[in-house]
Amino acid sequence: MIGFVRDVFRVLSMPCREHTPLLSKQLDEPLPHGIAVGLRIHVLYFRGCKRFRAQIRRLRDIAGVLGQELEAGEAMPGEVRERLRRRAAEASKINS
Amino acid sequence: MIDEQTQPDAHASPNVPTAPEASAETPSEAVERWLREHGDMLWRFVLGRVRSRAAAEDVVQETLLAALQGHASFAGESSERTWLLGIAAHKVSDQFRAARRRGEGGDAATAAARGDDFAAFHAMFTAKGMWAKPPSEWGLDGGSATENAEVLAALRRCIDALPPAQAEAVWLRDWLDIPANEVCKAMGISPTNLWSRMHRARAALRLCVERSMGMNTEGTR
Repeated sequence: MIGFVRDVFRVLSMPCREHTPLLSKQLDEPLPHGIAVGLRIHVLYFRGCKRFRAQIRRLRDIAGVLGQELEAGEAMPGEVRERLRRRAAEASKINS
Repeated sequence: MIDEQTQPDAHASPNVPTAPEASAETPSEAVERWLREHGDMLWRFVLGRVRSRAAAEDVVQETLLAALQGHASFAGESSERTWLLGIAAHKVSDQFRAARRRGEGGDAATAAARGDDFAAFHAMFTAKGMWAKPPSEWGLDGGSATENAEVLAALRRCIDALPPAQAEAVWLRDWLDIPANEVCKAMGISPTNLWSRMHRARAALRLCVERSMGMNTEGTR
């Protein structure tokens, strides 16, 4: 409980510039509860941070759409596959 | 903040996991399996990043040869697909670095690769770290197909124009949605280094997309 309160106040005492890396990190992993709560309170009061968070989230979601395209794109052509297989086999013989 | 551009190339000798199958299969069998199980994904990923099919074939070949060399030391800490995509992303970055050394890619790409957008991001704050020019509203309607396609095209260009080490992290983390801990293992970097790269990349991408889309860059509180 003490750690939680300390984290909340530590985050609330930081300027906006130091919140932006945390807002980004939050997209990659869950933050400790106190820090997450501090961030949530901070963005209620600072519109710049709120917009920054919304915009990097939007870009992350759009990048995810690019990733989904990989599931349905062109398959590796058979002749390319064959050449790659042959060259890799030659290289593995040389290396062995 | 760590400036990864000054860091040694952590991926030159990636700390790569060893597939459980590694001890049981010959190198040729491993390549055969990689092509069968991951070949299409590798091809699509690389083909979307380089200029021609010939260049894509070269990059996939370099990826397989590097994977063969690292095969024995692959420890299975990330999935094999992540491991191979990590190598491919690094090989694509090598191509981008070489193209920039040759002066290709234009002024915008060069500026972005120097990290100018991240410097511009820092200029949005006062000396005390408060917003001097807060991010402006983008005025996007939030999801029409045309709008999404435009943002998507801008984002693709902006990711490719990032410093290669940042682009590599964004491809793996945000584009391919690979968990952060696996991205760290595939790239041979620490979590702190990954967060630093991702923050710099996202701040720069935000500005780059805003500029590319001609959205208002005047901050409003």
